[in-house]
Amino acid sequence: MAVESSVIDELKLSVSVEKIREQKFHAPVPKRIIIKPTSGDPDGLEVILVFETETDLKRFGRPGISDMFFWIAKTVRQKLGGGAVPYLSAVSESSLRYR
Amino acid sequence: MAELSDDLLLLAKELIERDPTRPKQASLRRSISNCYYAVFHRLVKDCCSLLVPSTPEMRPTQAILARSFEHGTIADVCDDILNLLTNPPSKQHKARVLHFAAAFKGPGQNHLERFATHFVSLQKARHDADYDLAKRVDKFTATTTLANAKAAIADWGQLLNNDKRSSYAFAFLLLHWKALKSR
Repeated sequence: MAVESSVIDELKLSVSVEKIREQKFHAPVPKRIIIKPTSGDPDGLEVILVFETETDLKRFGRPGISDMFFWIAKTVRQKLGGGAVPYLSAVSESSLRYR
Repeated sequence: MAELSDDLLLLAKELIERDPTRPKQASLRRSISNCYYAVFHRLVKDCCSLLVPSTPEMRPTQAILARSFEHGTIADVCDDILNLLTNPPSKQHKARVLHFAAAFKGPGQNHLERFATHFVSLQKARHDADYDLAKRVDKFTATTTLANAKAAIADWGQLLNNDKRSSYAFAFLLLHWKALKSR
């Protein structure tokens, strides 16, 4: 069943940039977060973390960004009460213009 | 001898770092694909070692078993396990569901959850990288995919070393989920 827009609005509050900042991951904080149904898969949910174009991930190392991905996926699943695993991806602001 | 999955991760990193100022789409897409296959091959190799003894005479059996793992089924199992852990099964659930739910509640639960979450995302990322040419792949996406692949392999390793019951149950389900689910 497709995720309703009201549910997506609730999710946006639960995995906002502020909420991520509060978690203090050893990782850069995204500039904004896009949550939307996956194109071509009405049951799927896509979470896109948009970072500053100049963000240097090397400064933070491996675990921090993965912890952030996992925390977001888990929070979304808990809010949805199960269902499909959200598809998370991270992009830089500049490349998003080409999508 | 270096593991295939280690080499794939190394190659994924090299592809990201190739042409630092203007990385080619082909390099970034192959990097993401390599990340997924690094995790897939590590998982399959370890599951085969769990289920069949690693002795010279059993190597051919392990090789045949390795061809039995299906990408879609692994993602389905990961999805279903995460659902099971998010929504505790009721007593009305069939005995096999309760059995596996209990198996996954062991000391490795957190590692299993993390591995399953990353695996599903990595598979989708590979699919996008290989087939969705309308979506531009950037260096940042490739770098975070590499980080998640390394995290998935680390979590799988932790599960394997610290929670044999969950590891066996998971390996068993990857091969038999379709049959079990339909009965």
